[in-house]
Amino acid sequence: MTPILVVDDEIQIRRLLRLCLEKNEFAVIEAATGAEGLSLFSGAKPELVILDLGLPDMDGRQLLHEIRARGDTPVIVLSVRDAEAEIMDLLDSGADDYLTKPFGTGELIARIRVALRHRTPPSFSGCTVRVGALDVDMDTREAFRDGAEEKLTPTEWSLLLIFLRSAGKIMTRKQILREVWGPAMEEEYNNLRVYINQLRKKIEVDPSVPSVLLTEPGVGYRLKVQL
Amino acid sequence: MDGKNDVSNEPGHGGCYLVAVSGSGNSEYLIHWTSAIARRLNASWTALHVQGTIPDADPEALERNLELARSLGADVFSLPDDEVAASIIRYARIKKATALVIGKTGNGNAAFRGKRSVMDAILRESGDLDVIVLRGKNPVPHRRRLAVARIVARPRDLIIAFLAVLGVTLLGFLAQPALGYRSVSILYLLVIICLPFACGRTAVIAGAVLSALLWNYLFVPPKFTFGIDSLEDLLMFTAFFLAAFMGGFLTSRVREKEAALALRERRTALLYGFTRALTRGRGIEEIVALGSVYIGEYLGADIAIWMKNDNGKLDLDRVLGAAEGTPPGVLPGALAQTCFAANEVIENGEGLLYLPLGAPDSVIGVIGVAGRDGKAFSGEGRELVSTLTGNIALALERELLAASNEAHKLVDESARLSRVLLNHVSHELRTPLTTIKGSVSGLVDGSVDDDPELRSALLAETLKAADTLNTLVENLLSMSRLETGSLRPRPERTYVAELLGAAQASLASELSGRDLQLDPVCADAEFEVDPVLMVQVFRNLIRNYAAYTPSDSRLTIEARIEEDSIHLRFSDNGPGVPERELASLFDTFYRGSNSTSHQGCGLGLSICRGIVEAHGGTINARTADGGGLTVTVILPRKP
Repeated sequence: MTPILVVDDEIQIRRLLRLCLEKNEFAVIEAATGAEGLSLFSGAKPELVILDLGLPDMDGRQLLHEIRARGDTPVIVLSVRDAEAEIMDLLDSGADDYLTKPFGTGELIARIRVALRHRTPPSFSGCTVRVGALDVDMDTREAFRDGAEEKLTPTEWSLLLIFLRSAGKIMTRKQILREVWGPAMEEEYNNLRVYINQLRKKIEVDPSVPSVLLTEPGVGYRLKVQL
Repeated sequence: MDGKNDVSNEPGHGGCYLVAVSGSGNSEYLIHWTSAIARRLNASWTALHVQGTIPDADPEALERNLELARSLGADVFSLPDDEVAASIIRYARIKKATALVIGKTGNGNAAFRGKRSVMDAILRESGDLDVIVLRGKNPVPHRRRLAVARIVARPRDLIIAFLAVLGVTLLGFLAQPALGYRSVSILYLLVIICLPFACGRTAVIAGAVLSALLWNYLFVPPKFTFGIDSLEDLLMFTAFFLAAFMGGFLTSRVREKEAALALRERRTALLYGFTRALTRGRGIEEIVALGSVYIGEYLGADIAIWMKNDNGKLDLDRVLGAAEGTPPGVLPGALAQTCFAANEVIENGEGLLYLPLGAPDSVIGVIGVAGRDGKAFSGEGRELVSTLTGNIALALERELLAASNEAHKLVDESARLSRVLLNHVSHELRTPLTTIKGSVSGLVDGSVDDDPELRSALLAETLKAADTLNTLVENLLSMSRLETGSLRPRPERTYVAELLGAAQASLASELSGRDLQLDPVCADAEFEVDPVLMVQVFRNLIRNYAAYTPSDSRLTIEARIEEDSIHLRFSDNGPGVPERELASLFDTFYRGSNSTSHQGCGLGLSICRGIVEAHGGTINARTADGGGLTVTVILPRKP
């Protein structure tokens, strides 16, 4: 049973999370305040933290900072809509993913699984991956669309690899830019936008309605995966 | 008792005294006397000057007297009117004066003109009005002063009269052999009658005397003496002298009356035009501009207006109405501040005049008037300034009142809206809550345990109701942000397609099995919008399609890129919306007549409009070609 720490001041939410997490073979540790969460984090050594942003005693970013100082345990942030800027900020400072309330439990479990999986980077060697309309041979670095080869530029390759490696996980624009072009370029949103649009044209079945490489407005991009 | 005392201490409690003022020294005494009485009785008082047909003997003295009254705290009015006495009495009645104070005047030459004096007229016509007649302490002989003043003629007039008489004399010399000396007198008479058109009364009378003497000396035998031989000639001379004198005198009077009338007409026309323009004027800026034009044109003066701000202080940084050509610093703001603080007229004697605008106890600002010739305003100019600025003040007060009315109306309207909102929202919240409670209680009490189909149907209903609640809460939040103006778009460059994709992804369950057609242009179409807000617009539009059209209808989203705008068209082939309802579709809480069977609270499209307009765009709805609904969003490509 993987232990998960739930930090939320609403007892109803904690109860709901406990029910659905335990049903999915996770062990639940509950904390009602940030301080309690932090002490439980150090004592119980959870493998993942679900952190509500609206805590009464502590700013979410502060708690995240404390957790990051103690290790790289995945953190999923719970927030409300219209807090996009704050979410992006938290993701850039080390949170792994986020969910806006209200959310479905299925979605939550999927996010938890993705976050836990990314602790051990997936290896793609020796297999062919299907992304949207594209079949990608990870060994030969060739891509095929409807059987015909689709040429990808080196940048498009790097982007695609980043998305495949963090499939299902939100990636902020800064994170992507940092990984592809280096920290000096992390504000070049416009370039990224154009490259992603190019990549979409190659992988999306219908590029006018992205359904694989999704934009989460105000936050970043997510490569949708079937779980 | 104290309270009562307070009331009686207010100026005006002891009634209102009206003092009639002219340019005489007597008036000065009248003013002091009335001021003292008014102070003792706690009364308000007004100094009134009525400008009759005869110009005042001593305009400077009049101006001094009016200034004195002003400085002693009187309201000062100056009216032009032929019927001086009637005018004074009419004014006293309008003002509901407790008593009218006038000076005692002798009959003077009024009797000579067949008229009663102003005092007599007032006493006769005053009726129920109390009239106080004061002798004056050291009265300057009113009439004599007047006569002396009138004798002083301008040199120009005398020269004209002299030249005219000289001209006729030369003409008479030429014509005498043919016409005889008696006819020459007719020529003289003609000139004397015509003289008032060119010069004043004194010059005319001088001309009459001169011509009589010249005629006698040069033409009447014995020539070159002042003697007259025949009795006939003597009579002729006397008749001529009287005719010339009376003719000149009467024509002069007609001319003077005409001039006063023209002046009055001009003033009336000016005031009428000004008041009418002000009535039509909308907005403080326009009123100030009108004032600037009128005062500039008729008084040759520039104006500047400072208004009181919300803190009750004079806003010196915002000067209104200073004309383009006004040199800076001509009307210093410091004086305006002084005028505002002291709440009284400030005049510097060099053509600068500052007047508080509005009623004495609620000054709304200060107007500064600067004569372009750098001279102090004369009596008439001063009165005109007062009248014009009074009108400006009234118009400005009207504007401020209208603005505060508007604000009150807005408050009322928002109170009404929030009531409607509460009613509406509680209803809308209750519907999904009822669904949830009903379904879940059935699941909890185990009554549906043996019917798996019903069980999953109830669960699906619960989920749908939860989604409805979520949408409602989200929309309410957006609405309140839009209404409070705290919603500020943070635009960034994006592709239309990625926002449409995001909107569609978040509506996956509502859209399952629906037919959405997207214009391939969207893939590359770019615009600068707040991505989060625009996704909300798209989501609301797409959600409406999913909610209000049959499941087999199709939504087509097309994009057209113009030079500086982008047009996005969302057309469905559903039942559409009746033509007459299209216009109100974007109104808050408006729900179409065929929407009753669906959840929703009429906020979605109104939020769309709010967000689109916050981006500087427009949104409109019309009936699609196939009969469905087309919503077009037009956004600037750059904000």
